Amino acid sequence: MQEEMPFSPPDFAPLPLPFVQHLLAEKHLSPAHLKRDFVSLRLSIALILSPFVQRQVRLEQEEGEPRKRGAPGETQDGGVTTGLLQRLLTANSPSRRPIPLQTISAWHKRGLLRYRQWGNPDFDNAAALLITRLLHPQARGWLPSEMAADEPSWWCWRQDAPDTPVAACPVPLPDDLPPSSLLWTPWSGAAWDRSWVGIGEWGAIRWASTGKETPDRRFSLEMLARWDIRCASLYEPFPPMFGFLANDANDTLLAHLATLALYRLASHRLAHEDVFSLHT
Amino acid sequence: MPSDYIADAETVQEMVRLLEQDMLLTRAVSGLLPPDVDPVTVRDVLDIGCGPGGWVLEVAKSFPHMHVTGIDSSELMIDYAANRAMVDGKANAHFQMMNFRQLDFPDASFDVINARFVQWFIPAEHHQRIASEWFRVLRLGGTLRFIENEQPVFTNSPALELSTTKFLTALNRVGKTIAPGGRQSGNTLVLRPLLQHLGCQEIQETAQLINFSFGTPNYEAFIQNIVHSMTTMIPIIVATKTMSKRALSALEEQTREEIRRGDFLGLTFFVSAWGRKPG
Repeated sequence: MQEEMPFSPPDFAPLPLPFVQHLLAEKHLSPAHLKRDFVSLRLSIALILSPFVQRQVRLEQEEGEPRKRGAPGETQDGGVTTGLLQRLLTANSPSRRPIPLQTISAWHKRGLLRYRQWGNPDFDNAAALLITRLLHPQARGWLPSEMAADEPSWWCWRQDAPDTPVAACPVPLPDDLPPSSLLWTPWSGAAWDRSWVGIGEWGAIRWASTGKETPDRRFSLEMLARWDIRCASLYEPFPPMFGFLANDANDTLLAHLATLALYRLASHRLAHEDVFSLHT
Repeated sequence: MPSDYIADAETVQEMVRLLEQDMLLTRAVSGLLPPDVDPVTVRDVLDIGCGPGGWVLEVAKSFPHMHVTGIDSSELMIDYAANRAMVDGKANAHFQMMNFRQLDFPDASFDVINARFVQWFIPAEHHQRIASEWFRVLRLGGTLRFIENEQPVFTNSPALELSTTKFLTALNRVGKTIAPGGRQSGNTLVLRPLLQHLGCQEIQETAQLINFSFGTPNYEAFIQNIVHSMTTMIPIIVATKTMSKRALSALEEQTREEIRRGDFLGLTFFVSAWGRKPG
């Protein structure tokens, strides 16, 4: 992939590939301009959307299941609504002209705006739209014409083992990822999904298996040892006592050590001066 | 809703600047309430120009018996603050979109009224009339407090000094600074006279020095705020013909470079002034 494109898609997370290609295709928008402005804009958008996202998640937890009522544009007790996105896009467009609901609806039909549920845009997609709006200097034509339904939402970095190469990986994640694959992204908003561990403003990191564990796809002590022998050496299983209770405690201990290892691994992958590896 | 705000409060750059400023102020200015206010006697609190709601949420958290209300003219800021309150489970924190020139509250509704950084928004000739409206909703014996920052900052960066001077000149041209010539904001000068005009008693003032030189704990947060301020203040500087956009871009670049240097020095101060409504 990197041989075919002048940039690395994971650097532009949470933008989908067609959004990045569209921005770079514009003659007045050089890769250097993108490189300068993208990182701070991404942080700004994560900061602004964060309480709305947390409220949305809380609302969904309270109700037990995603809500079906409401319509695009209707405010639903806070959270990330179409109305919020509409207002933010309007306030940050060069013309300040209100974006009509028909336009929002057309974006949805063309695959550019994705919904989490009726009336509530997907968090990452909402962030991508805002970042793209802010990066593009023109009032019109700032989005590509369309985006395929199966186009990945954005791209993260993937490494299957410490001695294997780093590669780009689509989000949503493929089903066949090895459980011990390490995934990371400079997009801090990724941690709005609890499967990712947020590393402050530096980004987020996770194991491929997190939230997707099945009996045959479990994260094991051996896998942890391959990535971080020091964390693995801290594992001291509880002795058998009441059988399954001990297993629960041991699973919890392993999960905590696996998370600790993520922080240690993140320091080499995210927390350094130039996280942006855009080829210019 | 018409706004006196000097920038577009709903652009991402300005929202982020306000969020950073809110965090900085709440952290840097010691004491959520004036020191002579007994929290036990306070039931209703109003924050004028609450922005993203940091102060309101801190007061609501520290004093659960209080009913704390934040108002702002920005719908997005109010939505942001309200979502934070809901996520944090602060049922005693409330946010309303409202123009501070005409408050939609009955007389004598609040025990404490807090107004931070509001002088920037108010044309100098309207200070007294607007403050009188705030005084109307203050209970007898209640406290009105202002917190303001003086500009320009003290610095060894020529570009930062010039940037803030140009900004002050622009504000002076639209009547939003009190000091003559646009070399200072004068925001901190007007606080005591304003409280005196309203008839406040037991007026007090304190100043707090903030050092944001390279290597200090405040450095990163302050220079981020400076960078965002420069972006959001461009329209008013250009509109008042204080400086051309091109020259301003060059100055912005130079400022960014100078404030990143290891020998960068910066100092600013806040003045907190408060008084009690007789009764």
